[in-house]
Amino acid sequence: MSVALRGLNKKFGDLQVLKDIELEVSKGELFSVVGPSGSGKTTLLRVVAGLETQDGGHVYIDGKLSDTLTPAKRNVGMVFQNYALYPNKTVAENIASPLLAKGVARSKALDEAAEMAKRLGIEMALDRKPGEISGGQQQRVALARALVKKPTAFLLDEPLSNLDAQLRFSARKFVKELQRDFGITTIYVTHDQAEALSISDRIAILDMGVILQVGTPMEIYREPANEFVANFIGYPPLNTVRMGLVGKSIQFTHSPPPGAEHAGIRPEAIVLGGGPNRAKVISTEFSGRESVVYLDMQGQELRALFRNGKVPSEGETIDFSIAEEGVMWFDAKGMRLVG
Amino acid sequence: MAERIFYFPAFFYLVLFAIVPFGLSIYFSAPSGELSSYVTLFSSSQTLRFLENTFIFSFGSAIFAVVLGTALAIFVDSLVRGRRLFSLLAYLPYTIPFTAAALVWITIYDPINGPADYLLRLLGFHAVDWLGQPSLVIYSVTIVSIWTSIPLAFLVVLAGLSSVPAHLKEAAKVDGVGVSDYYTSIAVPMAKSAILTAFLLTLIIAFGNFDLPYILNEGYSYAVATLPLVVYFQIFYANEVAQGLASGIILTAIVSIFSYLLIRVTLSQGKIGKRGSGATGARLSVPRALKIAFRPLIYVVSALTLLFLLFPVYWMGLIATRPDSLNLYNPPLLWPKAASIITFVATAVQAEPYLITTFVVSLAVMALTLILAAPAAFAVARRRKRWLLFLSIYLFSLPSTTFVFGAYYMIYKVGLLNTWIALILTYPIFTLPFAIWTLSNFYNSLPKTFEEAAHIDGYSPIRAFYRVVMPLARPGLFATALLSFVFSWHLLLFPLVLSETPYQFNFPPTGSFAVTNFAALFDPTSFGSTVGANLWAQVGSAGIIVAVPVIVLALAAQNYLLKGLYSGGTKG
Ligand SMILES: Nc1ncnc2c1ncn2[C@@H]1O[C@H](COP(=O)(O)OP(=O)(O)OP(=O)(O)O)[C@@H](O)[C@H]1O
Ligand SMILES: [Mg+2]
Repeated sequence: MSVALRGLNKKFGDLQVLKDIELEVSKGELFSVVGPSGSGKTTLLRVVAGLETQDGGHVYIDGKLSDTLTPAKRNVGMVFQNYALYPNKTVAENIASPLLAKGVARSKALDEAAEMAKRLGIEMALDRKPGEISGGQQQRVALARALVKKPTAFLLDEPLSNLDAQLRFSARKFVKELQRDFGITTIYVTHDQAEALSISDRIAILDMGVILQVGTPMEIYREPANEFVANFIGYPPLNTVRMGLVGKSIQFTHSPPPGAEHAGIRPEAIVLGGGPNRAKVISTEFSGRESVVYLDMQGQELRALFRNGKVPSEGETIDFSIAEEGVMWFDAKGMRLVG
Repeated sequence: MAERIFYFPAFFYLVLFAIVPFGLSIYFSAPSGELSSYVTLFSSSQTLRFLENTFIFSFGSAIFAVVLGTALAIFVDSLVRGRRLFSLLAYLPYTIPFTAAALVWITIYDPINGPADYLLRLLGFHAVDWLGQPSLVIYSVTIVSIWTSIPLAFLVVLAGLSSVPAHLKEAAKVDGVGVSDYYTSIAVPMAKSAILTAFLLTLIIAFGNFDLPYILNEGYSYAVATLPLVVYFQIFYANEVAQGLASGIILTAIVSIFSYLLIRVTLSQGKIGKRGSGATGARLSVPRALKIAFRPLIYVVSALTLLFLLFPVYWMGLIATRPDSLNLYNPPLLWPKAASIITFVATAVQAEPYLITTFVVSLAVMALTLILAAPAAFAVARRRKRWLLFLSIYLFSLPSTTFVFGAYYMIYKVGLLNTWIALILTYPIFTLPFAIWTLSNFYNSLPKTFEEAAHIDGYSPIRAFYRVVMPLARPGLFATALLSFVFSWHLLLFPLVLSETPYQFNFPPTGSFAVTNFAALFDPTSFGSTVGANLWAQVGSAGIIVAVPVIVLALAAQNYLLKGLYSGGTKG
């Protein structure tokens, strides 16, 4: 393993920001940490980097206990949310900075920086200042600066959140390919679950400083540990149905396991156009390839994903069935029931 | 461990050159534990007189400076255009050393041909002898002190008014809130702590003001002396060291109270900043009459204040460059008629050794201050060395008389009297605490992520500071450097005590009279004139020579200075 966190705890005053964090990130893995705002993602990353000192627990980097090492000694590369490029230095100097810090001769450092810039497609910006290049280029400069020193671990804190929607999509792919290319152990922090699902080898879900689940994107999506994870992952969000309606207003193709308190239905599991259930269409949201259809079933709102054919119109009554593989059951504590 | 390197040199300096002299002052005020000097002090009827003078002078200066400065700040803040020009005009007297200012005011107060008496007669009063009549002198000196204090009060209050968030100002406009309502119920209440800071700063500086009373006190009369002056005369003229030091300790104790308040205000300002800038519900209930009269009142007061601030500067230029015969008009001639720069040139030639000394010393002090303060202030801002900030504000507040004997004693013991080194070593007592204060404010406004990026890049804390933080902090460092230079240029008491002769044009240099000594020589009643006939032209010329380098510098770098002043405030 390349980065391991053991029983990590961190408090800011009375606020417990990280609680008994246990994580292992393997060599070359792209590992995402996802969670809502304020869940402690940035703090987790900063503890790994050594910018913040934990109150308890240990950080191992490359198998080495790193608790007492300064950030400079940990050999990690980090991309900050706002990039933190030195505004008074050129792009070349920014990228070369970690090499200069190591004591590499200036001309050699700048050569290496130029090479790195070429690999990331920003060689034309080398002589400019960060203020004079686009947001997408700034992001690449930040990536280049973090990678140039060949770090043991690559830490990214919401690196795409400052980009516009179009760019974010292509940058996502770029980061993924870059990570593959370099084969570098990466911890990727984001609050965007779609981003995490699309690029990660594995994902950890963080809420209020507690890790709720660790797994591959598929596992997290298909077998969420609890209702929070099920709700947080997937768009449009999961439909939650009270047990009172199950088998009465809403017909499932299978019966709930004992102890179930809630049913969760993925929007794509609601198959419109025929079936034992009937609901009224409240509204529809068109988004190109697919539409979200909002249904009303005796006061219970349901979101359905609609892919093919003519989008139902508002006020229409429509029949639907519920596909079994998109349904999950939760007990009173919100834990998912298996079986 | 490594972080100590950041603040140890500065701390070491402050201990050696500020705290040790302070301790020496206490020790020698009661040599071998004998408290007779304090007994004498408290039983002497004169003491009460000194205290009364000091309080009239200090509170008079601070109250009027803040009232007039606030009116002027409201006026400038309400302007759509010309804010910069008026700020500059109001800030002009601030750049003029007390020493030069005092000289000019001597001629303004001239009982026969001076414009002050002319104004009195115009207003239908009897002419008075401003600096000659004992019961009057303290008030005359206080007026000059008000004149020198208004700019600082103005700048601090203006900064407070300008920090009202733009959206509040716009909202007030949209809501149709009038100018008077905006200021009385929104802006001034929000600038309350800035106004309080302005008051405490001007008060503290006035308590420690040695220069003005020294130069304006004709005949060295104890009857009109303030405490700093008493300390100086008792120690260095009357040879009553313990007695003078005891007076100094009393002054220090008084100032300590206000310094404590200043630290409290500074602390609470930081908290308000963190809490965010929502509109406060605090509203002053303002009488209707004041509301109506508000705008005209502000305009009239501001116009008069500006006239008051600028006339002496104009007058200084006028008298420096005209033949003596034009000084003898009655009523005084207030505009240029004939120019003659003979006296000015002669005076400037005479000033050369003094200028060289002050220039070299000020440059060296600037460098020393920056080297010590830049990392120390960083430790205050980033490593939460708050105690160093409090120590700095406290030392900054203390009058120069607190340190002067101890510094003299130490310099004397190491045989460095009358050398440039003596001045270079001791001046940072005044510049360093100020620099730590302003620079730490500046670092606080600098985002932390750049340092963190540097740590990740692999820089050690010290290298990250020099490679990444210092280049980013250049504007703040520049402002602090300039202000240190200006401070050094202005200092009078230390060269008065530590120097004996002008620079001898030799090497290694001996003789270390500063330009302020040079100006003090022109006190027409003390040492007498050295150039002959045209006394006013000499006085005006000396004033200009002492003031101009600093004025030019200050104007050239006004952006930096206004910023630097905003965060700290300074001592003249
Ligand atoms: N230096 C600090 N001092 C005090 N509290 C802090 C500090 N840094 C973070 N916190 C608090 O710790 C909690 C977690 O913060 P953190 O920045 O790690 O969250 P995050 O998951 O990165 O959120 P976001 O998605 O908004 O970036 C928040 O409640 C935050 O207010
Ligand atoms: Mg964050």
